[in-house]
Amino acid sequence: MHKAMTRAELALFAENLVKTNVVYGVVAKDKQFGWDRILDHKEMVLDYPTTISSPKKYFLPPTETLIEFKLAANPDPKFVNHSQEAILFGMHACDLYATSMLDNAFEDTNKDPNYLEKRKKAILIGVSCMPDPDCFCNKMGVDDAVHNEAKISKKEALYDLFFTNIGHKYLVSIGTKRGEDLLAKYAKPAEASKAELDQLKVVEKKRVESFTSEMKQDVEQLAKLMPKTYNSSVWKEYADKCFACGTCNLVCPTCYCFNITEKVKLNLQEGSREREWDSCMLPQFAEVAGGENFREHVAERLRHRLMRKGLYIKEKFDKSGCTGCARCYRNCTADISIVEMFNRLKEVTENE
Amino acid sequence: MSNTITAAPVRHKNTDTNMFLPKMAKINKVEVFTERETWYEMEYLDKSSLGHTPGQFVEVSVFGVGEAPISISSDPTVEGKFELCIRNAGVVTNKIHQLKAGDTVGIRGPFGTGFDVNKFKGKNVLFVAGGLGLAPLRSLINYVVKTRKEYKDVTLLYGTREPKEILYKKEVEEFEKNKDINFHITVDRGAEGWTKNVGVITTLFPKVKIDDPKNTIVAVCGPPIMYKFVIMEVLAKNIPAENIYISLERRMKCGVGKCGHCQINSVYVCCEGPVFNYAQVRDFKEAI
Repeated sequence: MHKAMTRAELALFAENLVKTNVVYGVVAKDKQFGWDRILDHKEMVLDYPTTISSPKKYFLPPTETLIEFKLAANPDPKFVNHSQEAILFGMHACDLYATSMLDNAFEDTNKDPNYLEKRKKAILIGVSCMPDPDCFCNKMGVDDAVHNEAKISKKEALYDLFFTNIGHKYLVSIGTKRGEDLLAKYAKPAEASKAELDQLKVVEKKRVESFTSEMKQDVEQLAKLMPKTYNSSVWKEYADKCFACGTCNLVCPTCYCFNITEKVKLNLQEGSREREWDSCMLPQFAEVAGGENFREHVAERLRHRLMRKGLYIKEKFDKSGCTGCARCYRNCTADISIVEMFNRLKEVTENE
Repeated sequence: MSNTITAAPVRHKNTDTNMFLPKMAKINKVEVFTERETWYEMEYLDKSSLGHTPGQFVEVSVFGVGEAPISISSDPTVEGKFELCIRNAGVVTNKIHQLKAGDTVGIRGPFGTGFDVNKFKGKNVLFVAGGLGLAPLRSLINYVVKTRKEYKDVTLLYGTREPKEILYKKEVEEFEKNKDINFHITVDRGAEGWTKNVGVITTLFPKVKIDDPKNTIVAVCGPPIMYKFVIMEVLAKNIPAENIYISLERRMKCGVGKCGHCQINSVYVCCEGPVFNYAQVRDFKEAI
């Protein structure tokens, strides 16, 4: 089901939302773009290239308090869970897909209360984008999961509302009842006309045809390839270039590993236990108390990271662990391309 | 006190919203075992039972310092209290070593999948414990000793680096006297007055007689280096890989399958382990 809105109507919708809701959106940050709290709707942009970091930082903050306690005979530990009703406005397909993958991870076996409560209270509004030369989400099944109406109808949509820019107007796809209600409350959109729906098809076709990434395999092919690459010489090849700095983990929308640390307040009477983003690329990640390190070498850590992206998460949740957003490549301090690495693994494995 | 424990080990499923919130426990008794290891008996302040299966672990909190994963070393059928044998190996365990009887700690758990005791029943049982590896195995050993008639031959091999590093000295003496179990002990380096075996733990294997290898279940716990050599000896006695259980050490930070630190390939040790069937993990390169 699609509705149509002019740019002015969309601006008014955003303005109304910001007035009475907690809204997060994308704003210009120097020459790039990033997620931030929106207090003035005019600052929010909808037409932007991939943000530096993904909106995962909203659901899984870089540091988050889990418990608070006293440094006393009775520490009286208290569980802490801060969450609020919020709207995330302007999520790209890759980040919607990543969020659904994180939902699986935090719901699996032991439900993570901190993540899930923030998630439950958030409304996700997606916005269409055009791929830049590095993007390969089409290969990772992300495009289909978000845009392919036939596939969406089988499962719940990954968004509550999704806006597609068709030139003179925006078309809104309604994903959930919650999205429908939000739209009805803050805007009065018209039904999309036949001509507008035709224009939507033209725009979507153009997007699909605009991918230029050299990624050779799709998500299924990748999951078949990865088990064969375990002993590949390619890991060492790239480990020689990799600084093992962990930037890829930080910007990756599907990396969710964390460390748990203890913080003591300056008054020395209270403290808290926090989780903070961690990185499987850092040397101490798989180290145990006696000093034994189960992934001592960069090649082992690099392999672990790519196995998670291409295989382990796929096996566990039947979703791609890589969304094809290419953030890891754009931000890599050693200029390593994940696409090049996946392609090289394929090439070398087939010839080994 | 009951002699029954959960039939099959289950993954920890938190039923409330507080999986990161420790429950307060009091240290009842402390006994210094060695220079590095100290034994603790604890109980929850609310007197509830820990409810563990042998091989599971808890996260022990010292508030203001942090949490450390520690395997539970007591008989699972004893209700109301539990025991931990803790090596001073890091910031948290160092702080625990400074605690005394009457002090409190936080406990989360029990976590993970332990030994399925039903797989051991009616079989010969071989325990191989190296160093601190005796602590996680002790939970199972004590349970087997208590329900001794349910098993055929029971053998326990225990090795430490030096005689002064032997843990549970009183119990080890009892094992030596116990005619119902075959007990062999060794030290890597002997000392004055030491009359028993000297050598790594594999030097005890010639003393082990396995009559019916297909019906023998093995439980191994020790430092990573030990596994490869012990498993070679066990397989050489024609015991099938499927009959070998090993307990793997990892730094579980969350204990609930999220944080990623304990991951071996695709497996989260804190949920699917720390006890694994050897056949299940032998192809995992990062396992040991």
